[in-house]
Amino acid sequence: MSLEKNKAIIRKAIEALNKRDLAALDQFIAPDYVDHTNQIQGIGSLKQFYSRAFEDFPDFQRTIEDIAAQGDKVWARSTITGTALTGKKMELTSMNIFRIVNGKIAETWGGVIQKMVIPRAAGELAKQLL
Amino acid sequence: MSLEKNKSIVRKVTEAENNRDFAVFEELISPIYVNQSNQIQGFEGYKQFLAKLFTAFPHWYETIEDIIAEGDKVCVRLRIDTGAHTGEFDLLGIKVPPTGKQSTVKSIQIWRIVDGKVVEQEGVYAELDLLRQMGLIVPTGEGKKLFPQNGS
Repeated sequence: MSLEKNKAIIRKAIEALNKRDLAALDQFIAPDYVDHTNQIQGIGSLKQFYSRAFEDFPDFQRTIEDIAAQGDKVWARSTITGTALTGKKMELTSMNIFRIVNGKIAETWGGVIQKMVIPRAAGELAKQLL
Repeated sequence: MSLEKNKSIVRKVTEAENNRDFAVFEELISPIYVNQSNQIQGFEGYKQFLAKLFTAFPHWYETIEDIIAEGDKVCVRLRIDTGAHTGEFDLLGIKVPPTGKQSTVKSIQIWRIVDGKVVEQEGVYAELDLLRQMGLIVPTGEGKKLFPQNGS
């Protein structure tokens, strides 16, 4: 499986998410898919996870910023944006590893960091501690 | 620059961090090094960042669990054992007093190597896990219901 082909699988899966085409995910994600970090098992659970995400953030979008591949693995850094129903805008950086088996994403690792929440949360805590 | 050579640079830097061997950084960290998410610039910035980190966590230890390379990039998945938090922790300008707690968190990073030196590093740490394990944040009632596996 070529490196470019593997990277294309990731791009197409993310494109399907951005278009809200959850049915298309079957082309890119294995039925027994496992997300090790977020403890999601099976493509059904993944689709449920994203259905919920799209309800909570109707303008959810994911953009790949950087991508590299070797062997059966792909690393990608992406930006996730969306507006919560409260009106709050979120912007997250996600760093993920994908393992491709037989042309589909079989395993992933990784998660997100919300850019501003950590300093803000720490600021509030520091005020209480000091 | 070969992929194996670039991977070995990343391994050497990680080993040097674990050994607190700042001399190795002279050799392998570029003067134009940048890490945007941690707001680090330059070789001096890099050393200062680590000095502060090791003050807070004198037993901080990183293990490379997975590594790939393509072009000028090396990607890693790390396991970080922070060891006990016994010194003041400078979290992007916020000074967090020692909690005495220790935690294990994962990090996924992409490094860029140019002419045998690290010029860029971008990564994500499980920061919420770290803060929670240090007892600095707790889930809300709603959070506990949604994510029972995270504990409280």
